[in-house]
Amino acid sequence: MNKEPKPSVTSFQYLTVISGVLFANGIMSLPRVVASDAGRSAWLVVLAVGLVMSGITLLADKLASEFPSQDAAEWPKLLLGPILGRVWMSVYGLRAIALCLLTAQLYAGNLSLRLLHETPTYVFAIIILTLSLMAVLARIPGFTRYSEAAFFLSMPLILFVVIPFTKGNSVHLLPLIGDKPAEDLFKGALAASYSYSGFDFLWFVYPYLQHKASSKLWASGAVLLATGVYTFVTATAVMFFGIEKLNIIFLPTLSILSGIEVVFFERIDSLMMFVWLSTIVTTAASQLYTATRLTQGMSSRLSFAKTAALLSGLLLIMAINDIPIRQAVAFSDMFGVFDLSFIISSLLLFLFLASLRKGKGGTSPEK
Amino acid sequence: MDNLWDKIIGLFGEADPANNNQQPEIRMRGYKGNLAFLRETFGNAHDFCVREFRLGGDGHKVSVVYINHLADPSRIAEEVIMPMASFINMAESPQAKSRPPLAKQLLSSSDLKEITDLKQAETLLLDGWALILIEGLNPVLAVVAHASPGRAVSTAETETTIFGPKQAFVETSAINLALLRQKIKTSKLKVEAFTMGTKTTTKVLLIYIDEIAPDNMVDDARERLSQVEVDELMDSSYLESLMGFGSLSPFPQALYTERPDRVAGNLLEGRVAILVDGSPEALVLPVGFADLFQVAGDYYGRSLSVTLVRALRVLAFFLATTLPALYAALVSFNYEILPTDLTIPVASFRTGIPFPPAIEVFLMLLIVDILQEGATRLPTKVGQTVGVVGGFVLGQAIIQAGLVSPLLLIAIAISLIGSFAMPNYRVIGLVRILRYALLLGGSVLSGVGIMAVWVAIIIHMASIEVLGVPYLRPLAPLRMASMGDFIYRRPYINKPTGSKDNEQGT
Repeated sequence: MNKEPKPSVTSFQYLTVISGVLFANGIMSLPRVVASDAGRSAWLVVLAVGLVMSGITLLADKLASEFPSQDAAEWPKLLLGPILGRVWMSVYGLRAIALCLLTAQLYAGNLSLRLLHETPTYVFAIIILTLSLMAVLARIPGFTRYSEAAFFLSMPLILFVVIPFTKGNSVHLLPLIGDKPAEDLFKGALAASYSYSGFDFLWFVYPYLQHKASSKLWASGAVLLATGVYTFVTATAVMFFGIEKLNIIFLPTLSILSGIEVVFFERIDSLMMFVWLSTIVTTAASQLYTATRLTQGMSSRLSFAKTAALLSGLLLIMAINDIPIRQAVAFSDMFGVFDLSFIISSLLLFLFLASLRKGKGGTSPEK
Repeated sequence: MDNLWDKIIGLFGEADPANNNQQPEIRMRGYKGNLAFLRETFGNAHDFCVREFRLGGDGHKVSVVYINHLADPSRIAEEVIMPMASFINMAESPQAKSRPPLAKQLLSSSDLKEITDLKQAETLLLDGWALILIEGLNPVLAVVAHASPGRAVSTAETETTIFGPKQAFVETSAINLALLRQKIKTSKLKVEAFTMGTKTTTKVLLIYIDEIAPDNMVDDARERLSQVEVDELMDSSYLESLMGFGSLSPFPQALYTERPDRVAGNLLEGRVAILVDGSPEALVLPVGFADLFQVAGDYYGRSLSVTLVRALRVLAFFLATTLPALYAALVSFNYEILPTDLTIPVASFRTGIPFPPAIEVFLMLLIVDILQEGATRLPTKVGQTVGVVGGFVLGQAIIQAGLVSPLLLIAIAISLIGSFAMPNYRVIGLVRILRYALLLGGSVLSGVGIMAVWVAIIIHMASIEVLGVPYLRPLAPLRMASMGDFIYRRPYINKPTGSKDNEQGT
């Protein structure tokens, strides 16, 4: 960052941007993905993973607090050195690009599959990427305001899940112990962890926070909020469909919603798909921003706007391929495991290096 | 004489820095040269008046120059020529040089300044001042001699309210400022003057309340005003774009109001106001999306009824912008979203319509907008007739001809009425633009298209900051403290005044 970031992000925006980034990727297919391995205990697995992820988010926030006015495009070079730091940023940047593309492709695939069969998926992917570029160009203050508005827009629809929850059969949630072996539960947990991809975006928002002292509370609160929604949706899906049926429903969250009727809308799931675009843009834009800042971090002479435009252009070219939704989902499952291991191992390594720097008395330049 | 002159100049003090034009200075050329320059500059225009007379004993010439109707001839005679005679007598008397306080009192004009730049002399003439050129003296005296200040203060026309004050601004900034001072009787009401427009030399006033308006906001406004470089400034509406507030954005980023009470209210909330000479509308900065749904009358009604009306305005905004697009999207792509009971009548009404839904909606919107524009430019009574003919006769004929579905006509009518529920005409313009953009999105990509346009709109609004204040405030960033004047208007309670509504950096 060339100049001191203006503290413009409120604590609530910190919460909405982190939870917004998480929601997009997980919520639609999470119940099926977890239940296929963990069975009736799926909702407990999701809850457990969420609690673990909440702890990991606290660590991520602690790392960010070591460099209060620098983001993840700057401090890796301080901790790993200029060369290794750039190598790490390259991998991290590629991961961000992949996550951005994957988010766009998954949503585009779902749209084509459920609503607009004639429209090629890349049309939707291009729309998402264009909107993401707009959000990125608004920089962190504008982007966090957008994510807050998107949060208000999409969250009320999730509440519709309460209706099928009351109609579901709670017997499907039992027995909790002994239903599946520990290995399957672990597999389910790994699958659930993909729904938490992107929490590390807080590394880029943190320098703009107004009240850094309470950041841990809001960061972990964001993950706990996501966990609460995930757990509730998973439990509802298990109760509503039962395990056997749930395993064959591609997007169970939408299927739950499809049964709800309100006065003006017969298909809330269609409405949900439309409104969900706002959350998808939050996630895709966060990754495009990440990739842009990391590219800038590797070469400080690059302009932010031009780099963002260039990267989104690159993503647009990559998006012009009609990837079948099943392939995208399969890739996302693999990607989720890589993503989690990469981010968590990096986080632990950086925390260790940061503590070493502190021990030597060489705190970050800001301190 | 020169000595006396110096003393007089010393008494008058320095020239007003606010009137320092950035135009190149033109040096004084002596009595004849100055007069010739002014005659040449104004090309002997018929309203360019020169009253020449000689001083008594030594025959020094004096010319009083002014523009008729901009300056008041009788006021000049009373406040300039008659005192000048005394001044001459005094100047010729041996005691004059030792009696400067008397000299100060001789010219009874309330404002008097020395001019050493002919360009400034030209500007002052055009601003209603009279110039006094005295043979043997290089500098020129200028006295204020404005003619009638224009129309009298009247009631508001575009922002009428049933309750509350009725006064509206006029075209004279001095009067408008006085109207504000009547509302806010504190010395903390600060006024900074600027002159803009190389051809119009329009006076612009930046007004704020010290210690309430944040310093960085005032500095930003001052900086932006000082950077304005333009040939003409005819109205306050020019300034929004000239100050760099989203000239390409469809969203109004300044509040225009003709009501002093509304400006006063905003000043007390920590905003700044800008008055432009010749414009009956003040510019208030910063404003946000929420301000588009507020009117002056909101502050004179009961809290709950105002809250309900504001909620209706927001609903009307979304219906006005999105309903036609929603119709096109649902009918073209997503019948399944509608309840079955509604799907059947919608489909049956569409039977026999020759156009695809998107074209059908687009044509109707086009006709309605043309009709609306046509009626706006006509005199009231004729306009009403056009409205009736357009609304009833044309609508009926179109349906009978089977060109559009009656349901669409209902949707368009709701959309149109919704746009009229907007508090000001600038928001109606915004509604029109958004309506077409959303229609395009809905026609091409159904609900996804509508949502994509809305997402783009929200991102655009989220990226806007006016004088450092986010446009989406108090929604994003969420400010519960400011929610008391968003849709819900909290009742008045006893508490110290001075809102912190415009804290920056949020």
